Formats: sequence, structure tokens, C-alpha cells
Amino acid sequence: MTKTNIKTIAIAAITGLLITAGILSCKKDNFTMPDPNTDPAGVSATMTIKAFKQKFLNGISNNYLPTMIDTNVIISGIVNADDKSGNFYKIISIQDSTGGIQLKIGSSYLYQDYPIGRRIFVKVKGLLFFNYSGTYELGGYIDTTTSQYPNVGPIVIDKAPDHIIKGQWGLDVPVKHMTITQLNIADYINLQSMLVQIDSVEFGTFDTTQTWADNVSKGSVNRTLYDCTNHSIIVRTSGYAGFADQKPNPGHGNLKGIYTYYTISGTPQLVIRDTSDVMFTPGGRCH
Amino acid sequence: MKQFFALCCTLVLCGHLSYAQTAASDSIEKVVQQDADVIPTIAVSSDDLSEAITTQNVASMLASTGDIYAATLSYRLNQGGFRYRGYRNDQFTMLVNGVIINDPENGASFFNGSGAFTDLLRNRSGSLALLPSSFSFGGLGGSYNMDMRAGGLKKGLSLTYTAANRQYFNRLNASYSTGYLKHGWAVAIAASRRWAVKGYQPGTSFDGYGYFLSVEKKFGERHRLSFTTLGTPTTSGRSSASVREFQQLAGTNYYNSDWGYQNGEVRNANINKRFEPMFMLTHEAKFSNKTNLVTGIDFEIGRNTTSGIDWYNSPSPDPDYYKNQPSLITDPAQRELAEEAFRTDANVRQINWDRLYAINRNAPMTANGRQSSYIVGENVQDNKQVNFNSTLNHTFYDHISLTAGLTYQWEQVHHYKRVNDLLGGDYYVNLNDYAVQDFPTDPNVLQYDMQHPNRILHVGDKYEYDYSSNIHKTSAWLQPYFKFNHVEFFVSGQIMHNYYWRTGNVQNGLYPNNSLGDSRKISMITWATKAGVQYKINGRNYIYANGMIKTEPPTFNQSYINARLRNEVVAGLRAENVYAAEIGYQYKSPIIKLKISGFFTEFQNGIENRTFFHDDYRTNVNYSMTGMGRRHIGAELGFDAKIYKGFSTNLVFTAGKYYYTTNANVTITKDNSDEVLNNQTAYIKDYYLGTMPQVTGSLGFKYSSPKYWYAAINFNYFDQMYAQINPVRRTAQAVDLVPYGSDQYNAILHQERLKAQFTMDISGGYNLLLNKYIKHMGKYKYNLNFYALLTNLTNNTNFAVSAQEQLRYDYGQNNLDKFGTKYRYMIGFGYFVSVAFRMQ
Repeated sequence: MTKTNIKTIAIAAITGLLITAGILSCKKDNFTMPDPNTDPAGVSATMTIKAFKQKFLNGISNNYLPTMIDTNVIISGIVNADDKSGNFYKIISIQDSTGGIQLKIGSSYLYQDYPIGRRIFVKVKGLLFFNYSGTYELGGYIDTTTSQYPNVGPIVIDKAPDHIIKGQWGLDVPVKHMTITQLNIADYINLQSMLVQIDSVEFGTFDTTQTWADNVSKGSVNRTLYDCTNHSIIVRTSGYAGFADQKPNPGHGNLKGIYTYYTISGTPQLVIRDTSDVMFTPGGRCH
Repeated sequence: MKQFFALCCTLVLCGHLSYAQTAASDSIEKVVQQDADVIPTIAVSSDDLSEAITTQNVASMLASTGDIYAATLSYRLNQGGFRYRGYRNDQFTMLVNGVIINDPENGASFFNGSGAFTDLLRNRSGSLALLPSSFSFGGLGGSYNMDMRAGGLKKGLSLTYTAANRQYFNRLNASYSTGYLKHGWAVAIAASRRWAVKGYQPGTSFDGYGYFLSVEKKFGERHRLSFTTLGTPTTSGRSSASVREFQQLAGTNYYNSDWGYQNGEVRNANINKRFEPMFMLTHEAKFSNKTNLVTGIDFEIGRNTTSGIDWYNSPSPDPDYYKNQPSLITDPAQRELAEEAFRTDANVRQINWDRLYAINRNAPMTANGRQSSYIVGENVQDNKQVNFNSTLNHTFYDHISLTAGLTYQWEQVHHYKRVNDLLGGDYYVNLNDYAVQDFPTDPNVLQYDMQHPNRILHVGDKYEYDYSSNIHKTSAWLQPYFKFNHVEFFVSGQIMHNYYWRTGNVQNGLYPNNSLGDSRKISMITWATKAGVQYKINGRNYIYANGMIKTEPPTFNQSYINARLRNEVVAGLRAENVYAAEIGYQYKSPIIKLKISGFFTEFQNGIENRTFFHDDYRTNVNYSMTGMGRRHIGAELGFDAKIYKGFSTNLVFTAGKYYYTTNANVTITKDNSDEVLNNQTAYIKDYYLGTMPQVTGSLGFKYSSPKYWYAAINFNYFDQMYAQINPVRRTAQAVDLVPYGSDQYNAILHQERLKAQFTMDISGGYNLLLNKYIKHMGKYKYNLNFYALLTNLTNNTNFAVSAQEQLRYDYGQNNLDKFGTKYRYMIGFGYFVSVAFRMQ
């Protein structure tokens, strides 16, 4: 082998190594990472929740029959209650600055898609609007199987993405600070399904010795909440709630909950999302 | 750094090049060639036929180029999942007897004769990568021709027995070739048998036959006319990849969930049967020393079936179904019990056939008998294919020659499912289980065949899907070639007309208006052009540069949103743009051979479609990705030197980077409507292509004795292997509700890099001329040929050659282990030992 050859080979080998090194350092990882925590482009509310409820309440002759919505309306709101604790079941509740409404959806893992603090956009066309004894709901179909009166069944989970568009999450849910007195005379049509907070309250002495609800027969139970001037309001809890077998906090303090109204008895009530809504400290009771 | 990046890329890019070399008749290459001859199509890691065999095909083709780099790496590195430049096998144009046989439906270069008749594949020629070829325009990986015409085959008788521990354990080969007889006739026949009652992986088996006949007649010195037919009826029991949890519980990386016991006997559910005989007619005319015309036509007709268990309104019988993962059980005691059961009870770990029979037999009696909940069904492909090819080579002057070719391919594949075994029941129903769950109120959607609703099925009846693909591909190409003392160069161009459509044979209830009859007929013109130059510095030093630009038509499956069920064509269907370049330097002396090359290939606007169960939409969705870009960039080194007397050494090394260059546009449609459910982005840019080593090396030492034996040892290295990503996991939807930049967020987006691996092989051969020992043997030469190849001497059983993330994704809890990555492993210590008797 001649010297020239060796030289040529050496030059070639070095060039080759440089090329290799170049190639291996050629690719710079420059990932664009998905950051989903934004509202979807091109979707926005076309009507407030309050206006929506008014529009469809006014047009309904029989207030107690489910009504199919056939106009293109989008409402938007922040989820203020989900099904994580089980106190809401196949239901989420949303609110905007004007009002709130409940959505019935056929899944018991709604919090995995629509957790508290997420803004969602609801394309209501094709859904059913229903006044369930004073609580306004959106559902997927008319259900005549569970009672002699037509009811509204949940949106089938497969269809949910057709109607519900997910937006930003991790948002704070605005809280309306109110007194029990104000709640008892509130405009239930507009205030319902919104998150409210009442300060300086406690549960009745007897209530604190009982469980939140009947987790054996799964019945819902009312507990009574008092302020220091003896005004009271019902806190209603489902037997399916994960905390149903616990007892209400015997202390005193502030409480958050979703405001609902039961027209048959004419009573307003609060539903807590979880026991963390009961922000009581021990002692300090006024009763 | 940026400048350097620009520089290095320019360096590779600016080349447009390459150039032809003649195969040097070097001893190493010959031996490598010998090895490659003997080594048949073996699925080293798995018996996933389509993948393993086709890559093996590519390997043996590469060896035919005479290129020192390609020849050595071909099969040494093939066992570790090596892919030449990271290409899929549709980038390798394969010809038999001058006729292109790539499958028109998917482009795959699969030749079913390559495993059965290694003896007959000696007349191979190839042109690597972007080099010009005298028989085909060629794909990015090059073009390869196997000449099996009787007249060219080695005269004489050959009998071979092989023992191995791979897909098959035994192989018998016999071939006899007359060579040219009087009046210009030549005849060659061959038969082959390969079998394994039990393959390397539990539950697998293999049973293959092969026949071959070629008759040729030479008319004077100018015309050769040949007829060749071959077929390889093969039945194999296959295996599937599995997630790590099940492999660990089973105590072996070779865990195979596809089989189970029935009455104490092993039964595999995943059986592949393939028989696609070929009939080829080739005419070659040498009009003069300067003009040569090869014209061939190939007819193929056959059937390829793959079986599996189907079920209706019942839980999955797969032992490795995700719901069976003990890790999903939250209660520790229950989880321990489930793990114990999987470890110790074969009926939990494997398919429990007896239980499936019991369930079917216990079904309530109806007027039609008992309805099976579980059956064995077969995915059938009835294939008809015609390939026509004509290639003219003409030399005008000493310096200019011209190659021109015409190709026409037609294929019709009838795809359907049929009932194979009712497993103790009396009938099955042709209803869509998923649709039943999704649309309880619509009676039509659950019908797979609306024109025969609620059809009762018996063994042999078609069900679920039934459609045909119809494909016509016509192309013409031209290649002028110029040769001067120091410079050779060429330019070539090809134009292709692709014309294809789907014909639905059933009206599916989910797509009543868009599943029956012919789909829109897709007509697309694609083109390709390539050029190259080689400069000879002197007799030993060469530099070359080649380049190609082309548009690549989508395959049939890429063109339809869900070809099995519906006629809907992908929106924005278009050809992929491909840009490729390579530059290289070669040194050739009698003692040293060296080749260094760099390559760059860019794919733009690619399309991929997948259909799978989407946990967020809770239904089957069609996931159509467009605008996909890939880059394959790398450097290759081949080195071969004679050290002393019979000792020699060789080294091949590849450093590549194969990765996605763009994010993909995803269109999601539900399996039940044309309405677009969602348009989103899959953030796959800069992820690596999966399941292939991107950096590989092999160092070998060899001794060849003048006394007709040789021995060699090879050390192989594999690195930069990545799991194949699930694009679904790289979407905003997949990291929904996961805090940006958190550990969980990063884990979801992370691409697993597999551990680098090392293997060691030894091989040796000995040729014994029997004439010395036995007298009166007449004019023939009698040889006994011994060959042994021992692979993976260190018995490395942790070499994952394939890792694929499942398409299903747990949107609810983002639990990555719920639908975890599935792995396949290379076999441990392997042997391949053969003895051949040859009479010539």
C-alpha cells in the first residue's frame, strides 16, 4: 500500500468522522409541546345562561315537559360541581356571571373530563331542556321508563363530545357571598346551580350526630344549617356521596354549596360538592 | 452550534450524486454471499411474517449488490431489526426474472420463494440506493433482480438438510438443474420442506412446502424464452408482542398470548396460511451486442389467511387483555392473587379453549341451535395479480447507453372475514358488537350487511367486512447513461399512473350510503427523477454523488379512512414528496476496501390512517394523519482488509437519525359518521422513528484456509432504538388536565429509548470434494458442504427488537401502564447448521 493511498484513506476517514459527528449533532430536539389549557379557537358563547333560560322558559307552554332545542345556541360556563365525590351523579353544573344550569351526562366519571374549574361550551341544539321540579337541566333524550311523568335522560357519553367542547381548566369558580335570609327569598330561576357561600353558620345539634345521608339504602337526606340569628336552610346530600356515612362537622364557620330549589315544597337548598366545602373550625358555635 | 448544524446539513444535502460500481470478486464478499445464500428467510425475533420476512428479503437483496457496506451489514445486523437507511421495505424494488413483483396494494417487496429456495437465488444483481440500474428505475433503497430462469441456474443436483432453532427447526431442500441441453432447452426443478412442530417461542409452529419448476428454450444465441412457476404453501402458528407486566409474570420475554390448551393439547389461535403461486414468462432478446430487451409477465393467484378469536357480546378471551393486568387492581391482596394465578395457572396465562367451548355449549337452545359467543375467524385475502415489465438496454456509442422500461401492474385483492370454527356452538351472528353498545336505539347500525340483516353464520360463511381493492399501476422510465475516462453520470426519469378504487361487497349499517359498490376512483399521476455522477480520481479512489426527487403515491390503505368498512377517501389525498441525496467516497485496492457515504432523505406530506378504540370518545374512531414529514439522515462506513495470509477483518458502521420533522394534522371521524369529530395536532415533531436501531456496527474477523474451510467471528452493536410512538399520546387531548411541564406531563410525552445491545456470532464452513475418496464417479464433481452459524452466543434474551406503544390511550386517568408498550425480543442463542450434497 502506497503512502499516497494511506494519506487518501486517512483524509477520507477523517472526513467521514466529521460527517458522522455532524449528522449525530444535526438533529436538535425542538419539540413543540401541546399545552391544552386554552379555550378552543372559534367557539364562543352566543347567549348567557340567564338569557338562555328565559328564552326557553318563555316559549314553553307546559313548563314540566322536556323541550327539544332546535336552534343553534352556544352557552358557556365554568363547571362548579362534578361527580367526583358522588354527591352529584351523572350531573355536572355550570355557571357564568348571569346564572347556572345542570347537565345530565351518562357517565360516572365526568370529573375526568369536566372537572370543577373547567370552562365548557355547550352546543345546545339537539339537547332537551327540562324543568325538573324547579331545577333546570339539559339532557339527551326523553326518558319515560323511570316514572309516570316524562323525565330527561342523560346525554349518551358517546354523544357528549358532539355537544360539549372543553375549554380552559384550573379556573377559580366565582362564589356569590350571601346570607341565609337572602337565599330564602332569592330569585331561584336565575340563582340556581350557582356556587354560593354563607358565612358564620353551623349544623343543628341533632344533625351533627347523624350521617350526611343514608349510605345503606342510598337515600338522600336533608340536614339543617343555621346562622346565629336562627335562620335556616337545608343542605341536601345523596346517599351515593362518598362521604354519606360521615357526620357533618360540629364546628362553626363558612360553607359553600350549589344553590338549588325544589318547587314542590317551595324550599331552597344547598348541595355541597365535597366536605371541603364545609370550612368550619371547632367550637365557636352560637347554639 | 447553529452554523455547524447548517454546515453539516448542507454538506450532506448539497450532494446530488452517486455512482455505479462493479462487484469486486473479493473473497470476503464471496463468503458473505455464501452465508447469505445459505441463510434462508428466518424470522429471528418473531414470526410476524410480514415484517420479519420482508426485512430478511431486503437483507438478502442488499448482499447482491457487491457493495462492501451493504453485503456485510445485510444479515449480520438484520437480526437486531436493522433497516437500511431506516426505510420501509416498499422502498426496495424487487424483480424476479426481470419482472417487478412488489405488491401493488402496499408496495411491499415480498418474495415467497426466498425462504424456500435459497439454492436458486445465486443469480442476483442489485443496485444499491440511488445508483442507476439496468432493469428498473428503483426505489430509495435500490432495485434488485433475482434471475431464476433454468438456463442460468447452476447445473447439477443439490440436496440440503438444515437444523435450526428459529421459526422452523428443520429444512430439506432438493434441486436439480440440467443447464442448457441440446436444442437449447433447460429445465430446473426444486422442492423444499420446512417445519417445526414447536418453534422457538411457546405456542408457535411452522409447516411449509415449496415447489419450483423452470423451463427455458434458447432460440439461437439471440432469444431466450422461459417459463417459471413456484409456490410455497405455508402454515405457521404465530405469536404476538405483549406488555412488560405479562412478560414478567410469565417469567419470559417470549411470552405468547396467542395459544392455550384444548383438552391438554396446545392450540394456537393466530394461524397464518399462505399460498400464492407465481407463473412467470420471460423473454430476452439480444438483438446485438448493443441492444438487449427483456420482457416478462407474472401471474399470481392465491390466498393468505390469518386467524384469530372473535366474540360477540362477551368479554375478551385474550389472556393479556388490559383488564387482566393485575397492576390495575387496587386491593393488594386481590392483586397478589391475580398475579399468582397468572404465574401458576396456564389456563389464566394462556387462552382457555375448554372454557370457550363450555360457554358456547351452555348457550340457550334456539331454533338455530346454540349461538356461539366465541369463534375462530379468519381474515382472508384472495389475491389476483398480473405484473408486466419490459426493459430495453441499448448502447449508442462507447460513451452513451440508454435504458428504457415499461411496467404495468394489476392487482385485485378480495378481503373478507369468514368463520373458521364455531368452538362447540351451532351458529354465529353477523352483527357489530361495538355499534350495539353505541347506538342502542338504531336497529340498522349493528348490521354488517344490511342486505342480509341478522344473518346466521356457519363455518365458511363470510362476515364483518367484505371488499375488494382494484389497482392499476402503469409506468414508463428512461435513463441515459454517460461514461468517460474519469467521469460517469446518468439522469433518469419515471412517470407513473396510479388508478385504484375500493369495491364494497356489503352494505354496512354504519355507512349505508358509502360502503356498498365502487368508491370514487382515484387517479393520480406521480413522477420521479434521479441523477448521479461518479468521478474516478484514479484506479483506486472514487467519489460519487446521487440524488432523487419524486412523488410517492399513497398506498391503498393510506387512501381510505377505513378501507375495511367504508368507501370514504381521505380528505386532501395527495402524493408524498420525497427528496433524497447521497455522497460517498470509495477506495478499492486488492488489500483494502473502504467506503464512506452520507445520505439524506426527506419525506413531506405523508399520510397515515389508523382505526382503533378511542377511550375519550368511547368508540372506534378513524384517525387520519396528514402532512407528516420524516427525515432520514446518516453516515455509513464499510471497511474490509486482508491482514495476513487468510486472515481478514471487516467493519461496518452506520450512524443515522431517523425522525419526524413536522407535527401531524389529525382528523378524527367516528366509525359511524362522515362528520369530522375533531381536528387536532399530533405533536410528533422531533420524535424518532421506532423499532429500529439507528446506530449499528459490526466488526468481524475471518480466517479462510486454502483447504476449503473458513471460520468467522462477528461482534455486533445496536444503539439508538426507540419505541414506536402512539401519536394519540402526543395531543392536547392526551395531556388534558395534566399540569403543563409536570412530571406526569413529561412522562406522557416521553419516548422510550431502548437499551443498547451487543451480540456475538460465529460461523464457519467446509467444503469436501468427494471425488478424492470415491473412485469411478464419472465426469461429475461431488461435494459435501458444511455450514454452521451460531448467533447470539451470549444468549442475550433481553434484546427488544420491537417496542410499540398501543394506540389506545387512557384519557381518564392518563395511566400509561393501562395500555402499555408492547415488546418483542430477539431470540437467544441460535443455531443454523446445514449439510449439503452437490453433484455438478
